[in-house]
Order: sequence, then structure tokens, then C-alpha cells
Amino acid sequence: MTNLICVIHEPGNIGLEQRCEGATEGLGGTVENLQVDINDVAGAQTTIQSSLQADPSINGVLALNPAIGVAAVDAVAGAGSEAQIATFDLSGDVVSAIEDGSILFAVDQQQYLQGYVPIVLLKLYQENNNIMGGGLPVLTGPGFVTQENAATVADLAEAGTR
Amino acid sequence: MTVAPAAAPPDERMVTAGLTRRFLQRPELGAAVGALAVFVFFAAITDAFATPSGIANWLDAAAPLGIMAVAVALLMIGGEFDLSAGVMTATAGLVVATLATEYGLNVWPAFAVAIAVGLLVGFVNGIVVVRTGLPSFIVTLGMFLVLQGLNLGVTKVITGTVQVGGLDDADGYGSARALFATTVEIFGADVRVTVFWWIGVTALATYVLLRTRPGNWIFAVGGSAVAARGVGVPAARTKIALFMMVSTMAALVGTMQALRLTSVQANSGIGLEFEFIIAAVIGGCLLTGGFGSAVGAALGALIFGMAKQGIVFAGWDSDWFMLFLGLLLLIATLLNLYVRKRAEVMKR
Repeated sequence: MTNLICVIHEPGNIGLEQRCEGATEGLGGTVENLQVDINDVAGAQTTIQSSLQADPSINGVLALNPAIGVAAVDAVAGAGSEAQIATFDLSGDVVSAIEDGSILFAVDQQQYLQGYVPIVLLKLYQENNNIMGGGLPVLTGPGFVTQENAATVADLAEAGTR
Repeated sequence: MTVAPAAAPPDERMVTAGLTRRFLQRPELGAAVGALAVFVFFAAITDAFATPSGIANWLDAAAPLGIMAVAVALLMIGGEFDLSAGVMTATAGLVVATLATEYGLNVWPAFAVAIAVGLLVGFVNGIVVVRTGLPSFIVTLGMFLVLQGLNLGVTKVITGTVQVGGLDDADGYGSARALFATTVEIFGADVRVTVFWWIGVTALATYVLLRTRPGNWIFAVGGSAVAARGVGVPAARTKIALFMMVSTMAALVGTMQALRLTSVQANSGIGLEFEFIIAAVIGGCLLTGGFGSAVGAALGALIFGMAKQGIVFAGWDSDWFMLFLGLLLLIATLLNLYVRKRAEVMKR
């Protein structure tokens, strides 16, 4: 991927801006940010489609939300583009799209783990004075979901814990 | 034998206006000029905007907005607002998706339930406004928040999460999609079927407004509800019916969006109510009621859709998106106003 659009679905959310900045640095190619509205996913789809039609050299779409990721699949098909799609976070629809190959991969932040693990760590520390990982940050992710492991994750994503 | 009296000058209200004059009196004239200007502008500065697939794309963006703008325009001509219409689209989508995926209902009966919910919401809006005489702005703002809360709360209780997905696996999805959300190939471009719904709704609304008795009632209650009541117009019933029509149309559009995306987020639709009103006003509706047109509102939605997509086609820095959109809409509306003022002068 050399020419990416990074779809920001919530104006003013610093975390989303940082993800796009990270993608720019890591990719080394061109990354353009595209602003859409998460309250209007159909509108977001047409906006992504416009962007792909306007610049056929775009060969990657990075979505930062599962609903936008799925909308990007329709947008790429609608624009007749060859662009590949990656998204942050999971939903049942995202996992199906990964299984059929229309989304390349999802970066799962494993938010469920982000909530669950700290409570366990705190409880162990409180009751047993346990410290895990030598007191250093314990990583809760990212879990990459690709075509290989999508089937395993599918049921869990439906249930909302992945 | 008496001398025939000299023919009295005909009542000026009864004179048939000439064709040019009638053309210049149309409320949608300004919007038509604005739409043309926005189209020419983006067609000139971008390559893809005026291609068949480009056109199909911005029509797709404008169509759901257009359907709602036409419905909202009728309500505004009738002198009322509906701020709950945006969230109502999400409510309907959630009803369809939840019934179809969580309770295994066929999409069609689920759609019927969504329409029934739309009728009910509109009826409550209407009856409260008419009975209490409170401004519809505040009544429907209340309904907006109620629906927003229900959308999130009920979805969370039923599904344990904040979105409902997997609608494409439900019974009846294929046939419902074919009618509400599929695309049709025209000149090599995939045109969303919503666009034809939009044209149909606009034509129907125009016919009702200009050629039927309820259409007269709508203008009358928007001009002055008391005076309308005085000459025998069922003012309360007309207003309630308008509210019900708007919410039902929102249910239709919400179902279309749900079928198209196959999943619905509990937070969707928030903020869209203003886009509906903006499109109606760009199209020549007065905020005070009694004046406006369905075609104008449809053109207003077209301006909005073209401007929104045009900015992306032009590749302008998307951090400034809202600024560009706001300025374009202001310019289009000023042009609209200018054309209408000129027309006022010329028709005298």
C-alpha cells in the first residue's frame, strides 16, 4: 500500500488523529485524512466512495471503527476500486468481511481485556500482594484478526466480548 | 331596455398570470439556480464529479436526505418543525434490525412494525403540539431525546451491545433490499434505488401540495392556523397528519439505510434533523410556515449532497470540511435569495 486514506469518524477525537499520524509514519507512503460522521454511516460510505473515485491511485483505506470498516467495503466495491481495507476493532460484520477477504485485517484493541485485566491485577495485588510483569505495563493487545483466525473470533465478536 | 354596464375591471386576484410571471413566482427557482451553480462549479474543477459514476454517488448521498427534506418541507409549510425526524430514522432501523435478527421475524413484518412506530411517534408529536399549543420546536426536541435514549437503552438491553448487525441473514432480506436499497445500472453507473424513491416522493408531494384539497389545507394552516380554522380547514387534523407523515417517512428512510448497511448503530441519525431542515430552507421554505415547495426541498437536498461530495472530489483538506460546507451552503442560499429578489422585482 502506497496511497492510503485514513477515515476519521469523530472530529476532534485526538486518539483517531494519532492513529492516522501513526499510520503515516509507519507506512512511509502518502496518507490523506478523510472526515466523516459516525452518526451517518451511509453518508460516510458515499464520502469514502467519492474519495476513491476522485483519486484512483488510492490503494488502501484505513477505518478506525468497525461500522466505517464495513461501509468502506461497499464504497470500494461501488467505486470499482482495488483498494484494500483495514480497520480498527471488531463487529460480527467485520469478521465476516475478513473471512470473505473483503477486509484485509482488523486491529483488535481487545477493549474487553482492557477492562477485565486491570480489575484482576488490582484484586490480586490487594488480596495477595501479587505483581505481574514486574510492575511494568501489561499489554492487552493489539490482537490482529486476519483471514486465518477470523473463524475462531467470529462467535466471540457476535457475543460482544471480542 | 337598460344599457349594459361597462365591464368592471376583473378582480386582480382572479387574473391568470402569464407563463413567465408564474415561473418567476415559483419558490424553487432560486434553489434551481443554486443547484446549477454548485454543479457547474464542481464539474469544472474536478474530473470525476460529472462522470456517470460520480453523479450516481452524489445522488446516492442526496437521496435519503431529499426524501426527508421533502417530508419536512411539507411540515414546515404547515408551520411546524420536527427535530425528532433524524433520530427517528435510527429508531426505525433498529426496530427492523432487532426484530429480524434477535426475534427471527421476516424483514417485511418487521418493516410494518417500524412504520407503525413511525405513525405512533408522529401522532404523539402532533397531538401534543395541537392540544397544548406549545411550540413544536420544544415538543419534538423532547421526542428527539426520548428516542435517542430509547435507541441506546433498548438496544443495549436486548443485544447487550450498541449495534445490531447481521440483517443480511434475515428472511425476506433479499426482496426488501431489491425494493429499498439495491442499485440499478444506468449508463454504466450503479444508481441507488433510493434516488427513484426520492423522485417519486417529490412528485407525489408536489401533486398533493398544488393540486389537492389537503395541499391547500397545508398552506392555510401554515399561513395562519386560526384563520384556516375559521374558514373550515381541519387545522388540528392537518397538522397531526403532517407530523405522522414525517415520522413515517423517517421510518421508511431508516429501513432503507438499515437494509443497505445490514447493521444499525444505536447512535445513528443524531444531527440529521438539522440537515433536513437546512435542505428545506435552502429550497425556499420559510421558517415561519405558509410558503415553500417540495421540488425546492428536493433541490436543497441536491445542493447539500453535491456540496458535501464535491468537497471530497475536489480533494480539499478534510480538516476544513465543515467550513467549506458551511460557506458553500451560505453562498448557495444567498444566490437563492438574490434570484428570488430579482424575480420579485421583475414580476411586477
